[in-house]
Amino acid sequence: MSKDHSLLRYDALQEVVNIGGGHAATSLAKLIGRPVEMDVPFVELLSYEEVYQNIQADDTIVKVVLSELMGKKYGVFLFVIDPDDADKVAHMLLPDQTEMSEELIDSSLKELSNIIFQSFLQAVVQLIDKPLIASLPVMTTDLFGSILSSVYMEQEQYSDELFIIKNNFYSLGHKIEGSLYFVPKPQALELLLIQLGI
Amino acid sequence: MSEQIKVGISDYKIATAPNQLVTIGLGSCIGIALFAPKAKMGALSHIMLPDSTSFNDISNWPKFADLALPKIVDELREKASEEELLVKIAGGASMFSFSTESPILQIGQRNIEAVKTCLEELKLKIISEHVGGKMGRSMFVDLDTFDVKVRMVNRDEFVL
Repeated sequence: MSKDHSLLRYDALQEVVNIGGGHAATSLAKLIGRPVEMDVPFVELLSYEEVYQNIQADDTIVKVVLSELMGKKYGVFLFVIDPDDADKVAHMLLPDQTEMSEELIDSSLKELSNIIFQSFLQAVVQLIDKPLIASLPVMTTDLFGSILSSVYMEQEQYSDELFIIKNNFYSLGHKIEGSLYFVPKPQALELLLIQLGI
Repeated sequence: MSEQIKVGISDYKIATAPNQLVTIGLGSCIGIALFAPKAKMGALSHIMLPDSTSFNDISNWPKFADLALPKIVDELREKASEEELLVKIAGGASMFSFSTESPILQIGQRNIEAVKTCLEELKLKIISEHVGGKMGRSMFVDLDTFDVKVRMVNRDEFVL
C-alpha cells in the first residue's frame, strides 16, 4: 500500500470519528441542556506504557460504560469518566432535590452513554448506509489499567500496541470531561474503510 | 531503604528484600508472585495471554503464561540457588461479562487455567490465590514476609 493511500485511510478514519463524535456532542448538549465541546479526535497507535503516560494513568479510578456492536465482528464503545464528574452529570440529568444514590448515578451515566453511542452510530450508519446496532450498556467502576487491557483483549487485540480511537467531550469549561473510545476488532476498520469506498 | 519496583503489563521483575514488587491494574491478566524463602528473593510476572502457540511474533515472551513461567522460574531458581519456590497468584477477572458469553471464551478464565497448568508442570504449588470475578486487582508483594496484598476498588484489601 502506498504512503498516500495509507494517509488517506487515516484521514478518512479520523473524519468518521469526527462526524460521529460531533453528532454525539450535539445529542449530549440537548440532554444536559448546556453546550458540549469536543477536541479534535484522537486516532493513534500507542504502547500500553504510552497510553498510561499520555492519556490516563493506569491507577486512576474511572467509571466505564461499555456497549458492544451487534454482529460480533466490529468492536465495542467505551465511555470513560471520572467518578466525581459522573456525579455532576447525574445532577444535571435529574430533577433538583432528587436524593442521589450510587445506583441512581450509575443508571444516569448508563443512559447518557447509551445516547452517546447511539448518536455516534447513527452518524456512521448514514455514511456507510448499513445498519449497526449497539447492545444495552454495561457498567463498572475500576482502575483504568484493569479495564483497558481487558477490553482490548476481549476484542482480540493482543498486540503490545493499541490503536486508540477517542473523542474527548467537555462542558462548563473543563469542569466536566468524558471520553468516548471505540475499540475495534482486528478486521473492523478494514470493513469500515471498504464500505466507505477507500 | 526499601523500594517499590513496578512491573508493567507483559513484563516481570526479580528483586530481594526489603524491596517490594508491585503491579497495577490486573483485569483479565494474571500476576504471579514467586518467592525463594531462604534468599528472600522474589519475582513478579504480569502475563496477558494464556498461550503463545497461535502467535507468530513471540519476541515479547513475558506476555504469555506458557513462555514466561518456565523462564522466570528457571531464572529465579538459579539466582536464588533454591529449588523450592512459593507461589501466589491474583487476577483473571472478566471485567464486563455479557450473560451470553460462555466461560470458555473468557480470557480471564483461560489465563487462570493456563497459569495453573504451567505451574503444575514446573512442580510448583500455589499456596494462595485471589482469581476470577468481575473486579480488577493490584498486587503488592513484600519480599521480607512474602505477604501479598491484593487491592481492589470499593472492596477491602485482601492479603494472600
